[in-house]
Amino acid sequence: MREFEHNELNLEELNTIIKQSNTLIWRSNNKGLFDYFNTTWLQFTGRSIEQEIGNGWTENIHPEDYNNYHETYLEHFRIRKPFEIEYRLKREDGVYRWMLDKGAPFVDTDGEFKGFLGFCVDITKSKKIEGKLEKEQEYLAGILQGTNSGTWEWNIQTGETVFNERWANIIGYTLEEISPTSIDTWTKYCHPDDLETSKELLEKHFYGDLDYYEVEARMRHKNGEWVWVLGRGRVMAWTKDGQPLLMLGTHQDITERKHAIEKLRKSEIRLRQSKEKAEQIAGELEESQKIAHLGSWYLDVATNEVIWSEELYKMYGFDSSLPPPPYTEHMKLFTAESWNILSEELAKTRDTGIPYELVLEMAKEGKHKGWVWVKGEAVFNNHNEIVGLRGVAQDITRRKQMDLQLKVAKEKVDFISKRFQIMFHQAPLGMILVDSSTGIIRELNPKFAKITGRTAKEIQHHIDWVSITHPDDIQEDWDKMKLLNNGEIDGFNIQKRYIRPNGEEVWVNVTIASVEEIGNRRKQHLRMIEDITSKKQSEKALLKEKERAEASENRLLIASQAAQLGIWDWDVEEDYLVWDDRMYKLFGQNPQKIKTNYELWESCFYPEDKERVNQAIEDALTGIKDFDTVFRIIHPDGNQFYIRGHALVLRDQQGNPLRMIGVNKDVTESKTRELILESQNRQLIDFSNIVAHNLRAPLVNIEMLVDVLENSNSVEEQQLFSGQLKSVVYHLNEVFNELIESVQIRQDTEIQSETIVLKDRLDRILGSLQSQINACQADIQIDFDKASTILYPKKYVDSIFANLVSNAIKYRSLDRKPIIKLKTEKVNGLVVLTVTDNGLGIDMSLAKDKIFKIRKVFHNHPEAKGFGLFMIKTQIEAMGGKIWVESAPGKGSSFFVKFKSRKV
Amino acid sequence: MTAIKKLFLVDDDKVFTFLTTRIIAKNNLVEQVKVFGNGLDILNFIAENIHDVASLPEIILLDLNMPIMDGWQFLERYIDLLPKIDKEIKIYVLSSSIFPEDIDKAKTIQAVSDYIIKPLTGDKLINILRKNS
Repeated sequence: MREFEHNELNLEELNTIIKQSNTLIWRSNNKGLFDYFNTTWLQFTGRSIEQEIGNGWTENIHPEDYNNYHETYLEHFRIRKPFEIEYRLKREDGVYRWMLDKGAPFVDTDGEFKGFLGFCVDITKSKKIEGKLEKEQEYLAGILQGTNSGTWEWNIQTGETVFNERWANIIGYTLEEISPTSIDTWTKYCHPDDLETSKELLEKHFYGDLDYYEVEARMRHKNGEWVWVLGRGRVMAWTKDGQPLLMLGTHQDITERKHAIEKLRKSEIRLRQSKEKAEQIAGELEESQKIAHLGSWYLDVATNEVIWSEELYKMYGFDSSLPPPPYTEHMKLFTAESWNILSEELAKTRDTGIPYELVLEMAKEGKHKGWVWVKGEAVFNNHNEIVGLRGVAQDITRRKQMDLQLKVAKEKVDFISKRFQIMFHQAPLGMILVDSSTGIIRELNPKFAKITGRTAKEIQHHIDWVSITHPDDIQEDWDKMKLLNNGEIDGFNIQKRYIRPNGEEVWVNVTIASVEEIGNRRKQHLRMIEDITSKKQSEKALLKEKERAEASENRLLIASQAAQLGIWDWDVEEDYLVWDDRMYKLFGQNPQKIKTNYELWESCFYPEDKERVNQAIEDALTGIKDFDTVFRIIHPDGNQFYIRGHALVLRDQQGNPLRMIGVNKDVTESKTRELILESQNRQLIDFSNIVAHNLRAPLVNIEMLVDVLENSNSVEEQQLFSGQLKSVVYHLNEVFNELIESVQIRQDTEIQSETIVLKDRLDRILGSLQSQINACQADIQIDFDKASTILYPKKYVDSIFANLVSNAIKYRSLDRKPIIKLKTEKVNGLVVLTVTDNGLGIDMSLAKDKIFKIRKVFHNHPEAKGFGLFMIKTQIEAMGGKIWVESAPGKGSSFFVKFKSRKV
Repeated sequence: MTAIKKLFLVDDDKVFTFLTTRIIAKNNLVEQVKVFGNGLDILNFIAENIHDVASLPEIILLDLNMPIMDGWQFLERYIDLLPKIDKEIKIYVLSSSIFPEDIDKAKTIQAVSDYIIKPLTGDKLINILRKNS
């Protein structure tokens, strides 16, 4: 059979390990001076090798720890023994870290002592955890130290057992000498008979028959003798299935007490055997009692005489030169209850010979003073008759106090651990306790099993955290675990996925903290797991939603750009208006200059439309109807545009408007086209009307006249009818010409505008009307100061002046002297002409819009033809302007002409 | 067929009223024809004689296109007077317009019995009077 060759690591390999190790490594020479530090060390302290060598590095030891370190190092160097010491060392970032430094002597190949080699580990992490239990431990330690007790921590499941120095000292060893320790250390030194008893008592405690485990047992001392120990203990932690897990306890050396009792017993036997030796024995007795602080007494039943030992006097505080105190005084030493018990037991022993053993409460002037352990038995003669009673008493006040304090402290620890158990099992988070070195899950709660989709049985002790983690998520966890294990971090948080047996992924948020349990030196850590799958899913959905929203926003942007839509968003309550770039362009505003609120928008409205648009907004806000309106705006340069606005109102749950979001579009072009179309339509209807009434009427007359002419035999009649026929034909011709003229105006797109001095044109017209003006002595008043020139076709200006002035004269009132006022002014940049007379006036309720229609007359005036106003209206509107009238019968009329020089 | 006592002709076209009156007279079916030049004149006449049933006509022939108050405006105001008139008056619109909108509009007015396109011939007149008796 071939065996693997066993090779030591070669030098190079060793070097690599030393250099790359996470451990801080040092070496000192045979004079105790340090001559080597590895790279990790230098990186940790952030210092150069030159600074560290010799004793240079010790500058960085915490001042409080320096002396202790220095003494320990020198002492062990002197005796050339390994040492282990904890101290704080300053890291390169200035933070003191707790280091565990282990050093040991080393020799060269010739066996010659060369110095010490050692390594340091950062244990700050575990120090911190210890800190939490430190107070508890200090408290316990104080108690234990006070009782001079040995302590033991026994992991019942693994057998691992930790003892303190005192435990070893009781049996004459140092802790180091009996290390490594386990529960076998106890069985090894314990007396076989007492081990049996101990096991029985332990079983009873484990089954709950006994609250405490308590045993008196003998142990083999280093010197070969048996020492008596009082062992006490209690289970502090249980496994989930109810098995005892961790037990804490104490050892007390009770050899002296045991020996004293033994000695007493022996001496008494001897006393009975030899009265001569009584004196000597009494002396011995006295001595032994002094050692054990044990008092004894004897009662002669026959004489009722009582003898107290010297120590008993001392214990109870009486003068030993006097006889023992009387019954009444003796009673005062105890509480009433204790004295009653003692009296009863004494009487019973006296009558029946049954021995007693009691713990009594001592009192002084009604106050608790302490505890005393008493034991009594009957003394028989050869005839088996009771001749006396004897007993011992020991002051156990201090021990009792210690026990009490210990109990309280242990209950406190118990409570904390129980609370943790409950939290662990009922937590809404998954929780596991993991062996840091193997990754195996040692403990878990039901929630964890649920999250990972497995049963607790499948997991516990079988599965490690790596095997249930999503392959992509292992590395990060792994890396951080390394930092945790090295003590570089106290804990960490990670989001990762578990894989369930059915392949499902579970997103979890894991919080990891390392834990060190008392009595368990194996590294482990706690993981708290929160299932965040649904959160992740909604995050994902949100992200998708956002992408979708962004995409649709982009689409909207492109669409709005393509449609040349301006978009606005108005916060109703804050009156904060947001315009996009297109809005500013549409409204001819500078984005930098403008204050963005409703007022800005409103300020752009064409004055006549302002009220209507405000009302439409108001209706949209109150919910009467949606905002969908065409309105005019004026740019700062005076140009006018048509805007079509649509908007939606966003409301809160109560229906109050919060925001109004809308689009604006320049519809000037289509609106203008629409207006042209409308006016053309109107003209067409007018035209049809003219044809129907004004042209057909004379034709009907002609038809009728021709008919009667044909049927008439009278020359007289024929002359009358043909005369009428002539006038009808003349009328028809007139209407026909007017019609053609009006059609020509509408088609006369090429007519030229020119700058006209209004006064010049008016003077010409007035000149041609001079005879009529003179005839009626009309007063013509002219005020063209505010607008004296106009860009307009000359022909139209003449026509407007001629018709309006001649109308004013024609329809003058015969009751008064005609006054005709002509005035110009500028309104919104346009010239407005007003011609006011004090003539007959028109009943507007009858005239309505017909005043400007062809062949519509409103006076029974022989010269009324109904063509002049129709003409000038056609001309004014052909230029894009407007004419309107205000009139009251008997008072006069005012005609208004708004000139526009742009041909529509 | 009983003769009509009074027929009012409302039209501003003098040639037309002359010729039409002549046609009505020739047929000997109407005792009296009265001509009004515009809507306002006949409206005022009716308003003034509203209780004098004898002076009111049985038939009105109404032109649409007239100065001062046209046929439409007369009809609007006539409807207001109607409840006070204690006589059945038939109104016929007599217009040169063959414009369908005018014809349709006239027929929607309750007070208008029919729409007659000019000229008024003897046959058309007899038709009206027949319906009226």
